[in-house]
Amino acid sequence: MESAVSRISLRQFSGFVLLGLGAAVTFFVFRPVEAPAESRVFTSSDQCAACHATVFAEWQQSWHSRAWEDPDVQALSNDFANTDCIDCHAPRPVFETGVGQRVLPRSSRRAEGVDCISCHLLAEGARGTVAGTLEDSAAACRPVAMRELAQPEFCGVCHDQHKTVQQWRESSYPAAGVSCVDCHMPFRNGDPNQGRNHTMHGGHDIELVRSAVSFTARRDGSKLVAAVENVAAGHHFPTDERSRAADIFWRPLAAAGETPGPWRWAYRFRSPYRHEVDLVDTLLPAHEKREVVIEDEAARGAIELSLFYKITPYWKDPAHPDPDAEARLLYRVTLEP
Amino acid sequence: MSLRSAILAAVLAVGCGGNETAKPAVFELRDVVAPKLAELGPGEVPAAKPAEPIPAEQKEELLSMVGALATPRNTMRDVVLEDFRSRKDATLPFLAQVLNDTQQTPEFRSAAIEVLGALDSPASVETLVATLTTSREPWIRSQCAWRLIGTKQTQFLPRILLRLRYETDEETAVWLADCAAGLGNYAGVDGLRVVRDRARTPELVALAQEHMASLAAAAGVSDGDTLNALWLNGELEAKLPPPAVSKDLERQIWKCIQALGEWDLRVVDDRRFILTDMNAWIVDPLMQTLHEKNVYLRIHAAQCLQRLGLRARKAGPELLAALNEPRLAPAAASALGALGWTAAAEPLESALLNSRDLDYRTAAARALGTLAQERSVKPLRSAFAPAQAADLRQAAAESLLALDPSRDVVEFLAERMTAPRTEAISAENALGRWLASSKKAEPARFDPILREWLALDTTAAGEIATREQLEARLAARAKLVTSRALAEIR
Repeated sequence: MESAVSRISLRQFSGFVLLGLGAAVTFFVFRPVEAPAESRVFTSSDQCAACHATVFAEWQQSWHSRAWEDPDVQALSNDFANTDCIDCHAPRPVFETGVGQRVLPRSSRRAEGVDCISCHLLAEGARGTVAGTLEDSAAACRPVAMRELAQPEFCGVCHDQHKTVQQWRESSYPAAGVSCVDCHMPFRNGDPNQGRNHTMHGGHDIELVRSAVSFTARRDGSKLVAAVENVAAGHHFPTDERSRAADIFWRPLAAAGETPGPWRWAYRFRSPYRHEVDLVDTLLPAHEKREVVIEDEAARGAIELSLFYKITPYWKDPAHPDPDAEARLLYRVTLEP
Repeated sequence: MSLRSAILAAVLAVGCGGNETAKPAVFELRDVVAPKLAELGPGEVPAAKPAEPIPAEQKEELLSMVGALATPRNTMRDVVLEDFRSRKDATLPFLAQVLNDTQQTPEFRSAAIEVLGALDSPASVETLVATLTTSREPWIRSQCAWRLIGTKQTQFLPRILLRLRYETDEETAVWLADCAAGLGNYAGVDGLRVVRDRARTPELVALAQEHMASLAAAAGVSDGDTLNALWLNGELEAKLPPPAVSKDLERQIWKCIQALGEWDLRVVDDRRFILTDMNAWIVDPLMQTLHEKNVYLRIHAAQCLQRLGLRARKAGPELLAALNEPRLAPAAASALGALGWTAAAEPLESALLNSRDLDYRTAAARALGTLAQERSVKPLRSAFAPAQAADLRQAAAESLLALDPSRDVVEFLAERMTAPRTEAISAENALGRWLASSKKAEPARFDPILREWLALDTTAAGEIATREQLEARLAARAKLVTSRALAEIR
């Protein structure tokens, strides 16, 4: 009896071997492997919340998240009919245009304002999907460590439209190694291991604004001298030219139980809009002090002086401004006769 | 490339071998603006003469000449002006000195302005325009604008148009509008309309009215409002002979286009304003700029064409081609909508359904609403499907509101007015427009609802609503829509 082996030709044998090899290669190629989490396409910041709940919650509290929806912004931009506002209030990803380059506007998801995607999403073709502080090729968002995220040039793509980063460059803070994130994105609980706070507090945080300046007043003969010094803002006070303003008011001190009279306006710190040709720029640069002299018969008695801060520049009734109702008090000092 | 991807790629290559896959047409990008400016050359820069001290004797003579002009009913006026003309630009430093000297009498300063206008040279007009832009004295600005009327230096038209944007003195605005019209540009007529409707004094109202009427008569149009409408829809320029475009003006325009790439968005916005207020010949340079390698320039060029709207209809085919350039596509889509370019409906519908770029899809949805073609209802309905991204659904819903205002669309937009992190104001505006158009079609049913809708905005004119006021208004209006308006939809 012929053996089975002898009955098959060499050619058939080779065929079986090749088939076996093919099967092995196929198994190797398509074998189940422990794959990293599937890479995701990011179309909304909501997608970030699942893994980054703390950061997302902080961002939701931030004014970056309200960059589009805030009624003041809507009004001052004429419901964004002033299209030059859209670029920074609903920007496409910074990394798409490049750090140091002007951002471009988006036409969808605008209500998310300056969101996770604006700052973290990398351009197509980059090594990863998002910019972060750590590399993790197994994470769904494929983060790549990018130092640019913490550099002033990064913030500058928007904030230098209002010259804030330029003002910082002209101060002593760059030489001292103090940059935007040190004040506006401090480490959580001061611990670098806990990452940076994403509430990004700034001009809406009255305590932070208060800590930026000092306010004093003295008498000089018959004159009254109020002084504001920019002691801690790394840029002009106030910055964000045009929209913000700070005003010095004074009035005779009311006796106990009496209603004080109306505030009298003395000075305004503000950079004007383009159309306000009759106004001059009075922002107070970092480290500078400005003295305002008040000469008035009524100021010779006991008086109170206050420094108020406004998020929007206009008064309801410019002839009779009501800072108590329309502005926020930074400092109040009193002077005896 | 991993082994797995290599094998898959090889299999796909074998499997698909010989089949040509359809590629989208390539939209060519190249350097456009820099070569154009190089071709136009640096031009003649108005001489910035050093402020040399004027010899006392000459100063005396010039002052007496200006004094002659400052005297009312001086019979020597023409002779004096001719004398100044014969000295060409040599007297400019002196005239600028008199003009800016607040110690001089208004008559002397006015006379200096008159001479600058009469000289009508690039340098003299530069002095007038610079003063117009920087002076804080409204009467000086008004005088400068008045004396610019009839000057022939067309290269200053962009700056005159920009000044019109910022001018707060109504009388100056009237002269600026006249001046632009003298250079063949009627963009200022809209400014005259604003002065007529809002001026502080009856004299200014009359002045604006008079000028609107005279410009209309000169253009062969019945009245000022018609003139304005014809300018805005492009029909006026189709009727009138095209204005001469000097090389200097062309250079200024290309410089404006170049500035669209500037860092400062206020500079960009000013240039967009100028470019969209220019005459229709501006469409050609903007169409060329769509091909510019610099992404900022090409996107802002598309935005300018969008703002030109019907006046830029010539750019329709070029914008259609620009839909193939991914970074330009959303802006091109918006522009095609504004142009009313109905041939764009098909590619926009295709983008709406198939593009991977949410920005492009959203822009396409809004553009289709502006084009208002019946054929777009079905693709817009697909984009409105619940599975789609919420922003895309909203854009589709706002467009459907103009085309096919069904209950689900109205209800969805009312929801968007109160949902967190939505374009609530956009939804509110769309519903407001829908109520207004519904009232026109069916006043009996929609007039009371529209009245109530308008009454819910309690913010005084010029006042900014607080967040609470805004949210209260949106909630009340959303409720009005769901409780009253929905029932009226047939």
